[in-house]
Amino acid sequence: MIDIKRAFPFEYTRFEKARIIGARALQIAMGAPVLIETDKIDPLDIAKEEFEKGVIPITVKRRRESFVWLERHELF
Amino acid sequence: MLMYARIKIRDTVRVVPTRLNEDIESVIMDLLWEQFEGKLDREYGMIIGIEDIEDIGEGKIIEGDGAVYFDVTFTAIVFKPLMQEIVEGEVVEIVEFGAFVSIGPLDALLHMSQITDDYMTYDEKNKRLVGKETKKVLQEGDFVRARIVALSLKEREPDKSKIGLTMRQPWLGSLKWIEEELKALEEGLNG
Repeated sequence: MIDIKRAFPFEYTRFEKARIIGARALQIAMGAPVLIETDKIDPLDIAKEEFEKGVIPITVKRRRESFVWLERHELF
Repeated sequence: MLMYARIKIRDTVRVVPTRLNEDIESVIMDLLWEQFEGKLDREYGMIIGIEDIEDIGEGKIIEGDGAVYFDVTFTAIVFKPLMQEIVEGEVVEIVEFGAFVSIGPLDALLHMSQITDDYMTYDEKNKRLVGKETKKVLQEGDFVRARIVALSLKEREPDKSKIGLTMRQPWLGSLKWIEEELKALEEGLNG
């Protein structure tokens, strides 16, 4: 069964998660205001914490056919 | 007379991460002013101001850059001098070879030979130009009416753009002279 997830409240894939945290960490490193109270210093750690709390104002735009979710049996 | 025009521009604006907590519209407005004010385009003329932001698209984050890129549609006011156009302006500087006239954001050159049909001489001490026969005087601060006869706009270096003027036509010249001419004409009609 192929299920294309494109409505907004979706789970991020690990690639999207990496992209979001990466972009956010870069923004913080470049001086963007931090959105949470934290003791952390490393931008990457701050970005991760923000991601866990769901406060990062970044979303992923999935193109219609950019990827599909496959079940394991469909790969072989 | 088309000297100033309103045009619609669409472009991408890069908003640095440090300003992401501010109101995005005012940030973009600031950036547009920074980016576009004084910019010269051969086709559209010189952008002298941003009037209004019409539309701000979705922000995009590009790999390798933490900044957010917005597609923005906005209206701007441009200054576009045209050939053969009649302009009025103030004489801002008198030099040996003529006068510089401010016609808005740019200065235009009025060459010695193009001021009157008379021969003009440069009065270095008083910084003015005097007609040899007519004794007409042109000095800094005078308002003149002239026609644009040469245009060379440099996109890369707006300061090096050259605009040439002439006043050797009826009813062109320093506004003072025109007034005098009118008065003389009226007297002629009455008397």
